[in-house]
Amino acid sequence: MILRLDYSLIINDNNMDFINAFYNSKLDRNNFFSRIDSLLSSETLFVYAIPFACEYDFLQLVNNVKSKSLKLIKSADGIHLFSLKHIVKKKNESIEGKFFLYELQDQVNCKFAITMENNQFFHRVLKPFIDSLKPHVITTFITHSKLKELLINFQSVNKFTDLRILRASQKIRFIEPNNTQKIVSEISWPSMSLEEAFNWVAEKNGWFKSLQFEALYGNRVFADVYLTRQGILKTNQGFTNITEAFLKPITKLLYENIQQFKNRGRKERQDLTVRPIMIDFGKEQFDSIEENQKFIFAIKQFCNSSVSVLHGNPYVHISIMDYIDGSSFDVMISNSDRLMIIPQLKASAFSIKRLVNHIFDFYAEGKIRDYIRNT
Amino acid sequence: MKTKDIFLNDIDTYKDSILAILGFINFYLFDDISKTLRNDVFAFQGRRFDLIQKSKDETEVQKVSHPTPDFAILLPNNLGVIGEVKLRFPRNQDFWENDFNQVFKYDNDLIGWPIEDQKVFSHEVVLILHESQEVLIRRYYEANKVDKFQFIHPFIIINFHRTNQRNSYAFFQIKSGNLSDNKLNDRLEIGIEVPLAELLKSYSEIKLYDAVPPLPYLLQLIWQDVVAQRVFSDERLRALRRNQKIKVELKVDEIIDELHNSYSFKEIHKNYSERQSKIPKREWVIEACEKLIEVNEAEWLDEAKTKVKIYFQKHEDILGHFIEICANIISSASQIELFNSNSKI
Repeated sequence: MILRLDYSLIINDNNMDFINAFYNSKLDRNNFFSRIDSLLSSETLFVYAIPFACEYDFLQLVNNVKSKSLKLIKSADGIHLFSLKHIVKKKNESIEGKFFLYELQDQVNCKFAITMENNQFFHRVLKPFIDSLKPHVITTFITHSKLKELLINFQSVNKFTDLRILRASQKIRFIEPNNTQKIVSEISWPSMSLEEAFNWVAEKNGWFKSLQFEALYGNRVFADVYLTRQGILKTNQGFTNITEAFLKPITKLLYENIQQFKNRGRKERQDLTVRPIMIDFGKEQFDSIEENQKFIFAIKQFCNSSVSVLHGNPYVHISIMDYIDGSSFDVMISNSDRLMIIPQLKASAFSIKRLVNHIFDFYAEGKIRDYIRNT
Repeated sequence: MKTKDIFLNDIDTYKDSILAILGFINFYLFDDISKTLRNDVFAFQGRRFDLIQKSKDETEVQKVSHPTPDFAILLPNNLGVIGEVKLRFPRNQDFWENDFNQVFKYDNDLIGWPIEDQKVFSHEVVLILHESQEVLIRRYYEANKVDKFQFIHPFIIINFHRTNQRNSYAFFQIKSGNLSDNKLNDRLEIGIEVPLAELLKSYSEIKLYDAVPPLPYLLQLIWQDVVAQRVFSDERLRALRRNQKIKVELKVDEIIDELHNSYSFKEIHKNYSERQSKIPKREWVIEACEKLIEVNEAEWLDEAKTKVKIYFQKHEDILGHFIEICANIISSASQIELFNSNSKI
C-alpha cells in the first residue's frame, strides 16, 4: 500500500500539465465530472472528495478566516477553484495545491471539496483546512448499515460482478472485565467479498471506519475506491459513477441531518421551549444497570466537552457541554429502547451531529427521530 | 455516606421535587380528552399569598405572614388547590412539627389568588411525600391531627416515587384524604403513572423553583449557562486550552435574569407574575459567587457585590468539579472545627 501511494505521488508530479490544463479550462457544471473521468482514464491519477455542509456561504466563511494561504482563482457555475498552501515551519517547506469547491444545487449549503493533487496535499493541507473550519463546516458520517446499503447499490447499479475489500480499518467494541465497553482500532487486509467482510466485522461487534475496495467486472478492475465513515472518497476511475453512488447520497443524508438538527437551541425560540431528539435503538437496549453504565462510560469519552452525570440508575441523566462552540445538552434515558437528547440554550447542528456521531461510534447505532410522547 | 454522595442525593431530591410539582399541576392543567392545556385552570409555583387573621372583635384584619406554597392551582368556580412537596423529612421526628406547621398555614384563608377579590370560595391542601417516608409521616399526622393539625380544609396526602420498569414513570397515589375533583381523586386512588420522559422534558426547561438549590447544582447552571455562554459568544476564546483561564465580568443581575428566563417556572405564570419572586433569589446567587471566591475562581468587583469577575476554565465534569469544591470546603471546615474544639480542651 505504501508503495502504491508513493508511486501515485511520482506519477502525479509527472502529469502536472494535464491537471493544469484542466485547472485552466472553463468551469462548467455540465461536463465537470465527465472531464475528471477523462483525466482519470488517460492518466494514473487519484481524485479525492470531501462532502460537507457549511452553515453559511463558504466564500464568506473563508473571507472571514482571512487566510493568506487560501486564494480563490476563479468561480463559475457554482464551481470555485482555490489554491491552498501550508507552510511547515519546522521543516522550512511548503505544500501547495489546488482544489475545487462544487456547490450542490438541490441541497443548499452542501458542497464537495475535490482535488486531484497528491496524497500529501490532501492529508496535510486540504483535509486539515476543512477541519479547521468546524463548527461552521459540518462533515458527515455514514452508519454501518447505510455504508453497506450504498455499497450494494453501487454494485447493482453498475453491474459489477464483485466488490473486493482490499483494506479495512475498523473499530471493534469489546467488554472489559469491569464491564466497561472499550473501542479499539484495527487495520486488516481481509481480501473478502462485500457480504463476507460485513459479516466478519459484525461478528467482531465492530464497524468499518474506512474501506478500500476494487470494483470488479469479472477479473477486470474497474476502479480502486477508498471510502471513509466521514464520506471522504478517493478513486482512480469512474468519478461520475462514484459521485452518483456515494457522494450524492451521503450529502443528501448530511443535508437531512442538518435540517433535522438545526434550530434546536432553546434560544432560537422566543418561548425557550425544548426541541428534543431521540435515538431509537429498536430493541430493549437499556435493559440493565450494567447497560446504563456502559453508556455512561462511552459518553464520558466525548472529547473536548464537559460530561456530568446527574443520575446513573435507574434512569440516566447526563449534562453535556461541548467546548467547541458552547452547545449544551441534557441526555436522558428513561425508556429501555431509546435515549433522548434535549438541546439546551445553545445547540448548533454541528454539535448535535458531533454528539450523535460519538454515540454511534462509541456506544451503538440507532435511528434518529423527533421526540414523540410515549404513553 | 460521603459528602459527595450527600450532594448528589440533595440534587436528586431537588430535581424530583420539580418533577413532582410539574406532574401534579399537570393533572389539572392538561385536559386528557382534548390532549391540550386547559385555559380555565391556572397554576403557580412559589406564589406569595397573604395570611389574614381577624382580630378579636372580628372587624379588623391583619396580614400575619406570606405563605409561598410549592404549588397553587386556581380552578373554575372559585376553587383552589394549595400544596407542598416534601420528598425528604428530617430523620429526627422532633423536627417534623415545623414541616407540618408550614403546611398547616395553608389551612387558613389566603389572599392573593389572581381573581377579583383575591380569595377563593374554598381550597384544599395537598402534601406530596416520597414513598420511602410516606407511612411514617402519615402515622405521625394521624397521631397529631386532633391536637396539633386539625385541618378545616380538606387535607390530602399523596405518595410520589419513580418506578423502574422497562419504561420509567413517576407514580402518584393518594394515601389519605379526598380531592374534590372526583374524577381525579378516583384516578389518584388507583395511582397515576406519568411517563418520566415527559417530565424530564419539562424539567429541561424548569430546573429551579423557590427552594434553595444544592450549591453545586446552582454553580453548574451559572457556569454552563451564563459564564460559558459569555465565553463562547467570542469565537477567539473557543480555542481556550484546558489549563487556561479567561476572565468573565458579570453583573449579579445578569446571572439572575439569565437563569430566571431560562430555568424558572416563569412561563407557567407569565400573565400573573405580580406575586412571584424572581428565581433564583439574589442571596442564592451571591452565595454561589462567594463559594467561587473562596476557591479563587472569582472575585467581587465592588463592595456592594453587584459585579463579579469569574475565572472561566474548561472542566471535564462541571458538576463534578463543583461537588468536589463544596465537599472539600465542608470537610476542611469540619476539620478546623474539630481542631478548634480540641484546642479548647
